[in-house]
Amino acid sequence: MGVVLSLEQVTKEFSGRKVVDSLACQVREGEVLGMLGHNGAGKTTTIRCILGIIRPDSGSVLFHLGQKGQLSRALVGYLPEERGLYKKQKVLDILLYLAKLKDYPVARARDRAREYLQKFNLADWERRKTEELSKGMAQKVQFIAAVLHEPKLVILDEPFSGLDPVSQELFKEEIRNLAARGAAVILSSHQMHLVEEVCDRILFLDRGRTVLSGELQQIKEQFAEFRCEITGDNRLVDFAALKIVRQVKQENGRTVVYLQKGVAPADFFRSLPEGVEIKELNLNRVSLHEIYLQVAGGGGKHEA
Amino acid sequence: MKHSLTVAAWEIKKIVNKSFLLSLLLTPALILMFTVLPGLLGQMAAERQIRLYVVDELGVYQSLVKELEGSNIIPLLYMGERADLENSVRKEKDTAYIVLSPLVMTTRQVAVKTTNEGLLDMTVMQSSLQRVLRQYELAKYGLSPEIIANLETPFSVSTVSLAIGDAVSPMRNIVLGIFVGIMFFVASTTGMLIMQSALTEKRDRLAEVLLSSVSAGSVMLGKILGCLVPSLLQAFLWVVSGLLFARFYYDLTVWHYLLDPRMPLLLFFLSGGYLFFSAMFISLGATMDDPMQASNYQGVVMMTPYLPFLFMGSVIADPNGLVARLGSYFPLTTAGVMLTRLVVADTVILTDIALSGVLLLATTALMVWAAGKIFQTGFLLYGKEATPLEIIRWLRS
Repeated sequence: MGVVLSLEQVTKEFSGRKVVDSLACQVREGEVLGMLGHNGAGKTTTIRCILGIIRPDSGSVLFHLGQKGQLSRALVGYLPEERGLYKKQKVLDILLYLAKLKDYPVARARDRAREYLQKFNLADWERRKTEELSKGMAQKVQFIAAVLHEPKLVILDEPFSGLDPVSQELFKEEIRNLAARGAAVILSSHQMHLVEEVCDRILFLDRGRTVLSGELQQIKEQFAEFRCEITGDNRLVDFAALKIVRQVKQENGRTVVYLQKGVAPADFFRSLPEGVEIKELNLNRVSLHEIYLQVAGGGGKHEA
Repeated sequence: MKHSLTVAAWEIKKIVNKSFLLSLLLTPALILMFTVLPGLLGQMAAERQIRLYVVDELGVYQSLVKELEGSNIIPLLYMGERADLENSVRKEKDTAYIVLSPLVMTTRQVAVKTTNEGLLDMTVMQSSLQRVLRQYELAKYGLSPEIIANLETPFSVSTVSLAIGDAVSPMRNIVLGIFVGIMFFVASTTGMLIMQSALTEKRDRLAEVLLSSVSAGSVMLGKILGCLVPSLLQAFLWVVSGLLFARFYYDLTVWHYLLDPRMPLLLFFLSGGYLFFSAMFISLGATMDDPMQASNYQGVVMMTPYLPFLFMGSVIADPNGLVARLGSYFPLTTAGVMLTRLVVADTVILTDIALSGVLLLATTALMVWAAGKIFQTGFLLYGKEATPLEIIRWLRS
């Protein structure tokens, strides 16, 4: 898979505060890169630097599409976090206008727009004004606008926010389709459970810096420990004394036990002290969210 | 440029909707209606005849009849009882009476008695009685009718141009003045339209989508061009309506006055002024979040196109005077003042035209550059108004 975009030591400051700090990464065709971080981690600023909307103070953003090194806006699709539509204009007209700004042939844009509207159950709305659409419908139209012109690089900033579960599934499927057709996708979100299901690689940002990056599977293997959640009154049970336990959290009759790396769940169950009350039990791998809290809290840089 | 034209076409599509087309046709119709209607109503009122009973103790009745000839006031000499006269005026419609006695000559007052105060055209009454009573007074001093007639003839004062070439017809200047006025109005309303367009896109969170597709400069240029087209269409319709109105209502053919040799210069200052203020307004729109919450400095900026009106009187009175020349060299008023000078003056100092033209080009280029910087950053600033300090920082960056 060829590299579509490289970021080299990109730094951006606002009022003396580094919002993006020496960020370096690559995005390859056919992959979905998850750019994760809490609010203010620097995701949107990084995206704006990539799109040339703002200029980085130092470092470089290199495109390997079209004219080498130069951003070709026509080959990039973008769904911003702060999104909107022309309220008084018709759905199809807006889609065609935005495709035209991307130098995409109008006739082809019309055909593709109709296909997408059909797929997203919006076929009856193409001649309606967008002020008549529900929030979810408008978000689907915005998504279509971002991908209608067959971009080689698609940047989706918080695409799932405000969507119902059915629409979230639809978006996830479409994101996978985009990657399958060879587009490089950057997915920025703080809804990590959703990102986990579609991303190939992950870039964790915290205060503008990369705190963890790598293949999703490798990250999961690196942070492969299990977590066991036990419901019951176990205030007097000393789980932390067990050598195979890394961390214990107890709250409101619920105990979450994090096992050491490489420990099998069966070993944990065998080593449980007598008198443990188990009303309910859940055993899972550590989630991306918990990995993020772990690495962002640590502040260091990790490579998977 | 291609993207700017796409943005411009979209702006036109946004503006030219049913309500725009309706207002496009209705506005000149309403203006014409309000111009014609008072005249028609006045004409209808003038056709109504008013009987004016005159109690004449001075012997001026015949002179008054002569003075009121052609008006809708019919003087009738009354010789009967005053009480009967008052009763009949109270009862009869469209009647009034006056008493012209020696007392009038000392009190200098004539009372027109009627039950309907708006009945008589008092301007006609005032001028007619003024002349009749003055002639009566002058005759009392022993002046002959010839001398009185001579005294009554007013002196006429007018200017005679010594400029080389044909004297400029006043009608030509009036027509050009109306044309420039319409274009100036259109340019300033278009500026507001552009500001509104930028503000709406920013408020509707479309800024990032647009700037990820085209450069800020292309968006700006597209808006400036796109908003201009419907406004020019509007101006064209107004000018054509005005020419037709002049032709068919006043029987005046004036279109050829628009082919005046000053027209290229007028169009230059109009275009420069439009570009200067539209760049200013688009950047202003990008710094605002809600026009209703516009801060003081934004309000002041919105008033700047109307600055020339503050000293328009002085410029018209002396188009080559100090105020006019200073106004021509102040960037915010250059276009407005030069347009006024070119219309009202027979000749404008050539160096003023050349230097103010260069100044307009330079300040417009500077304004477009500054607007580009402000627009690029301000357009992405959601949920807050930009402060002057922030704007200065953007310009320096």
